[in-house]
Amino acid sequence: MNISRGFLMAITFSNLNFKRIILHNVYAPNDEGLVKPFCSAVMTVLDNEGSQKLEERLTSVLGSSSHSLQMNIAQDGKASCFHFSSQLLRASDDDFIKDSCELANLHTAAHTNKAWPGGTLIIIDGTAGAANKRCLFIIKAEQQAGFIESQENNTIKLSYIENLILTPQARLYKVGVFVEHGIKSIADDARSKDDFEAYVFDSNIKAKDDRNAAKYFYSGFLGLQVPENSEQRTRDFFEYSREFINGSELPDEKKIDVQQALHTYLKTDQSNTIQASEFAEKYLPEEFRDDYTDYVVKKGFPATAVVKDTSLIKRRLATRKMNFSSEVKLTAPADKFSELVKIIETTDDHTKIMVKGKLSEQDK
Amino acid sequence: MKQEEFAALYEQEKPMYKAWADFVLSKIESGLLNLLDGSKAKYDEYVKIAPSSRIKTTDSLLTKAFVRKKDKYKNPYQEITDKAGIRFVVLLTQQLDQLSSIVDHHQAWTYSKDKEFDDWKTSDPRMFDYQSVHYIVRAKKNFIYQGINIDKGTPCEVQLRTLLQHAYAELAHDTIYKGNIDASPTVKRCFAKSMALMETTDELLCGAKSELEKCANVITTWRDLSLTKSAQLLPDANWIDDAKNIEFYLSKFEPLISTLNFNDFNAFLEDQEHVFLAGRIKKHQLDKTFVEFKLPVVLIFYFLAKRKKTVIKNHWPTDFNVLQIIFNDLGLAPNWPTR
Repeated sequence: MNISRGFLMAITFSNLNFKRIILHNVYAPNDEGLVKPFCSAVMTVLDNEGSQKLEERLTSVLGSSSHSLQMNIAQDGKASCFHFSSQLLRASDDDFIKDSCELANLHTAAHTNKAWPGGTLIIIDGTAGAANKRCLFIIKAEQQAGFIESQENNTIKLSYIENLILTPQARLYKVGVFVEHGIKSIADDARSKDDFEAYVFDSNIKAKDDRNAAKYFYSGFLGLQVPENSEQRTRDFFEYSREFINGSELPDEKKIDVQQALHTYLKTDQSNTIQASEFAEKYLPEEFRDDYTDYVVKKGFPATAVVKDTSLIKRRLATRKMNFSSEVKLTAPADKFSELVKIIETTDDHTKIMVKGKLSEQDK
Repeated sequence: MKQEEFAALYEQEKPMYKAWADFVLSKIESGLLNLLDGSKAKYDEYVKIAPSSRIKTTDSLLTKAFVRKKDKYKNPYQEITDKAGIRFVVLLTQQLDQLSSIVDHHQAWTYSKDKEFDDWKTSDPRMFDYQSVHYIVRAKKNFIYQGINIDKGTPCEVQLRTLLQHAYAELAHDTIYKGNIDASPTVKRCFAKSMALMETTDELLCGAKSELEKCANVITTWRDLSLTKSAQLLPDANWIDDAKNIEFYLSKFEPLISTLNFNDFNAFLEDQEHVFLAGRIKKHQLDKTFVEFKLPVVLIFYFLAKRKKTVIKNHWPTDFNVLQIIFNDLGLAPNWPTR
């Protein structure tokens, strides 16, 4: 069936509940090489408000309409991030503290470039979804500097701080998560990756020019890889979106604009990922956005992001076609379509079009 | 019949007329209450002047029969039908139709109309004149009401008016119609102008009311739905279930909810994917950070967040921290700058 394409139905990160939280600091390498992490020896307990806000930080980047990506688990050996993460879900508290430090060590091993900042790893064991699936969240939060303002007597004081983390600026944290959706391998020493799904959020993945900075986190550290179906997903996105636009109640002129926008979004937009909610917010009138995202998600396209790969639709993106009720067809280079073809007037039985250029050739 | 005999007969029959008028009044009132689902509040909205019954004084009846209309009747005692009377004053002509229908269909009496609301149709449609519905209702059979014998055929006049007609009638009726003062053409013209304006005003108000009911209808239905569903979902919670808070939110969401239907809302609440909602709402209620979670309309917040996730932010009227908690519970990434 079309829906799965090698994936199980993606989890929704609703109903988050945190069980255990621990923090370890990780550092960028220095001139002598890797710098060992600082691992805490006790777990962190958050008050209600702190816990609520931390949930919200995760939902903002993993939830439906976020930029997160579902990934394949590539590394599943005994020294892999997946292995330790899957073990942590059912570990005793002592083991949770000890083994979560192994994750910090793995991060340090993958952290090979001084230019990438250190930060705090927040490792959370919890559940998500209506069925309370077990999840292991790994957040890497980078430090920000800023000021704290406080009123005292007749003055306002400013104090500088350097180690602020997890502000709403998602640029400054990355998240990986392993979700246990099956328990077939529960009795085994090492869990099977078939029982798990993996997701990642990293704003670097979206930016085309920063692939190494992204890769160290999702690949080097988490041991994940971009699924091989990106080209099909991208084609699906193109087709579902076209279907929606054509079948929608958008006025004809607006349909042409949005089709043009679809070409632009896939061909010229610099982003490395595509996402239905992003396309909707950028290009669709407000009252069509939710219908559109519902439509493509019902068709089986993820509610989050996928990596853009236009190799299967290159030729279709190069030209734009218009069909008329009289069987007349018109094709034109897509990137300059709106410059080359202007629709002047449309009625039920005719369309006035102005084409740039001179008729140079005609087939028989 | 001599005046003395006439007066004596009336004095004797007065209690019967009074009892008959009271009977008719009580039957129309209970018919109306029935129509309004027994709601006293709705009844008060409907009936603008408390209806009462009255019977003519003996002197008034005598002067009508022997002075003012002495040439009109052959048998004045029988022919004067307004010895007993009751009057209902409602707000708008729409309500008059409903009230008429109650009078038309009651089993205890037969009726005739000596004045119809739409008399103008058969007289001169260009005239703007006193309007009101006047019924004569007569007892169908002999019976006893509150210890008093009522004879078959006993008449009672029933007047049905709107508030505007009432205002006009109070001024015009006694001077121009009943009175024997010959009003000048200027006076008549002034009254006709007022009546024309009142008929127009009534029409405008009826239109305004039905438009109002159309929008209110969407809101009241969703309001009632959220009240029932919240009580079912968390029966022990102290829901703040007064209507005005719910209506405040619903009026802001009107453009969104008017495109959705109630079945979808029910399906949303029953969906296995959302079994955790009751628990989450309960938790937020106990947290006491946001009172919004004690409003039954919170269920509609969740529903709209799910169904209208990209646009709900444009209609959200209060603290965005609340909307973020709702998005978080549902696993939706907010599409506005968060804190």
